[in-house]
Amino acid sequence: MKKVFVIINLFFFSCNLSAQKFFTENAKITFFSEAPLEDIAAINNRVKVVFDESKNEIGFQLMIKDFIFKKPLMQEHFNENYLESDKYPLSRFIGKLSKNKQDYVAEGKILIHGIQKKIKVKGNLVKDKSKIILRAEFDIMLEDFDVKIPKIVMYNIAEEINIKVYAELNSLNE
Amino acid sequence: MNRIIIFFFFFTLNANSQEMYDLLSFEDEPKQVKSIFKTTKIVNGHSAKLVNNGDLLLLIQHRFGPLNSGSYNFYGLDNAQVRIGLEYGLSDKINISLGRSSFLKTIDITAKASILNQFHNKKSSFKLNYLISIFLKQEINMIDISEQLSYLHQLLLAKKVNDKLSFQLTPTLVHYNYVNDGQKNDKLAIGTAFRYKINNRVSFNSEYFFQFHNTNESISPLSFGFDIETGGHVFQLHITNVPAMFEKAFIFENYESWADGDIYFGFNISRYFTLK
Repeated sequence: MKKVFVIINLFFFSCNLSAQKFFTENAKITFFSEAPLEDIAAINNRVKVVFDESKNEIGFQLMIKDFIFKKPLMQEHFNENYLESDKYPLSRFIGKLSKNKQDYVAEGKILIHGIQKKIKVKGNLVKDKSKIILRAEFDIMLEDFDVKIPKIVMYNIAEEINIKVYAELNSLNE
Repeated sequence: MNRIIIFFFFFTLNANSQEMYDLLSFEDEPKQVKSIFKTTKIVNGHSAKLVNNGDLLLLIQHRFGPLNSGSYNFYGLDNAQVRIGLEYGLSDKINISLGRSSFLKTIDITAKASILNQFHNKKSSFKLNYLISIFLKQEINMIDISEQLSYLHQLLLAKKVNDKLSFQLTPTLVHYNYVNDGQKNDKLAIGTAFRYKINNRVSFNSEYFFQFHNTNESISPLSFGFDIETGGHVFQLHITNVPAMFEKAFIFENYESWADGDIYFGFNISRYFTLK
């Protein structure tokens, strides 16, 4: 009898563990490259984000083809020549969120162009009832992810890319 | 007893992590295959690629004289003929183009429409475009224009087989308004082409059109070329046995052959402009 009581409690307890999850499928990620001849900017409005509050685990995933550029030709080259999105359609970040006084830090692995790297990103998290708003900004080096820039467009594309993240997550209740 | 507790604990932990990945999944997204060909021509014939909405493509096709024209003619380099064309993306699915070839002084007006697309997660899918052209031969006396007109219909069936290889089949019909005695007004052919990607910017292309009921014994065109892409340009360097650069002439009205050394070296330059 005692055993059954404990097992039933565990069952409900485990159900509660999954209650504090937050999700969105429309987070925004933008990137910006500043170079002498040309500025390149793109936005992805279809980023999926999951945040598990109980475990401080956070995950982002997006499709490279969802990055929108002003010039369709630039978008085509980005997909075909640089990020090779036919080969590597997804990019993601999975990590753990921790708080250091006022700052939030997400530490984990980022996958870009088929290459995974450990990164630490500083950001901001605001919780408003059943909503969480996330903001972050960080830089990446293209060569870290094997994204090759031919010399001929050296002055059009920067080696360091600035990435901005904005997500409004809603709580998922099962 | 403790074991049961621990089992439950781990069970729920793992179930939640999997759930997280499931929520992030894009499994059900249709992933369209892009970059089957780099530009709108394979060598002589049209590829299944369309110009993007609002983009303008300036296409300059240059072909020298035949290699067997001897040293006096610098093996063909002394003579050259050109086709200049403009292709515009009315939308992502429809292109219109206008061009003129100096060889046979023919104007071509073309419309190309996307019907089907190839998707990564649908193995049997392929890209299908429909193309129609009107050819107008410029004569000094343009009295009866209908006699100088001919029409082209093509289905462009293309498939990217893997990272490096793309194929295209091009069933072709040319209708002549005016033919000589004994000739048919409708001529059929099927084009076969492939593109092999050497690296992200260079590819090797090959093209052959097989003719049906070849009543005027036209010699079929066999062409080989390299595509080199740099920024907003695609350069195509090629060799072929046909001097003409529009379908009516290069498929059905050719009497130059590889075996006789009638080899023409040429190059195409595609320059893309974004108009919006």
